[in-house]
Amino acid sequence: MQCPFCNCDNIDGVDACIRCKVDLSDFTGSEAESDIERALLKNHLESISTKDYIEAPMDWTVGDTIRRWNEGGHHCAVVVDNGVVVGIFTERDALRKLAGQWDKLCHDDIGQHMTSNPVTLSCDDPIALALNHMMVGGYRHIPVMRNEKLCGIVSVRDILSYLALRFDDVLT
Amino acid sequence: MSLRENLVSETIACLGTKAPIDIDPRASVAEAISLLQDHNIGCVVVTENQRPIGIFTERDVLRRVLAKQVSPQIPVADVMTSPATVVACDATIGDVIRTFVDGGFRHIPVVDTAGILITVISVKRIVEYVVEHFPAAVFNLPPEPGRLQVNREGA
Repeated sequence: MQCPFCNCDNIDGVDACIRCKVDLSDFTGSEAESDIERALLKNHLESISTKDYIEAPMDWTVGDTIRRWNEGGHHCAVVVDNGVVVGIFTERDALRKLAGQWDKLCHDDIGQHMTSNPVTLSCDDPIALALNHMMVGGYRHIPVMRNEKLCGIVSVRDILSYLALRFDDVLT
Repeated sequence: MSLRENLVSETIACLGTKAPIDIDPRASVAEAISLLQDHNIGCVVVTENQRPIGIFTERDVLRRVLAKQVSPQIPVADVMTSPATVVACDATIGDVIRTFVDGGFRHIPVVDTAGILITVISVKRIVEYVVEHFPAAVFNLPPEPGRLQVNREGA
């Protein structure tokens, strides 16, 4: 059987791909489901990532960041330091860390309140890997990198939009 | 049944009915924010006689409360998103996915035939439902799928 992720030819019945080690033992769905499984493993994050974020330097204040974020109608800020992603600041961070203390915290640097060292993925990674991090790690936004530079972001909603397109024929 | 069949036959009742967190429209914004923080959730449903009349989300906190620096003592009804888009409890999963995608929502209140709030469904729960149909493709990935073994060991 052909590995749906790396296309390596494996002997029928193997548990894992001999090349990339993807578990092949459970690929037993119907043909239609196998299509979506294959798509999740073969389609890259580049095809679904968006620019729905602002890039915030470490020294922007919390107030600046949120003002620019709101002006652009975005949903999160990715914090960068000399081009390197060092943190992420989402609506959930704003709710948990700022609400009730806005006057005190709005002049702080965004670097003080961001979630540090977020998981990032490559634009060449499969969509299934983003889903894996979202389901296992509970992340809702994952920065996407190309050649170690930020090039987009992928959210749970982007994944649902992608799935909806795959099932467009049955969704009224 | 396949996922494609389930999307048009299964209703959102099969996703479970976790008790919703709701609030009276006369309650303060501060109370609503406390509910969001205490329950670590993204929205509270604003109800009157158990019927949703609006929704107050973390996005509203950011855009209508923090950014505009409104007093946390004003009623939540002044800053909620109203009317809230709701779905009926007998809607199919496919219907709900379409509502999420078309409206750009992250949470949708679910109501019974009398319009009474039953639960709130999140975009994440819908994605979990879809993933339950092919767990191997999502959960059985190697830690670094891009790192391929080119040669057999010892070759």
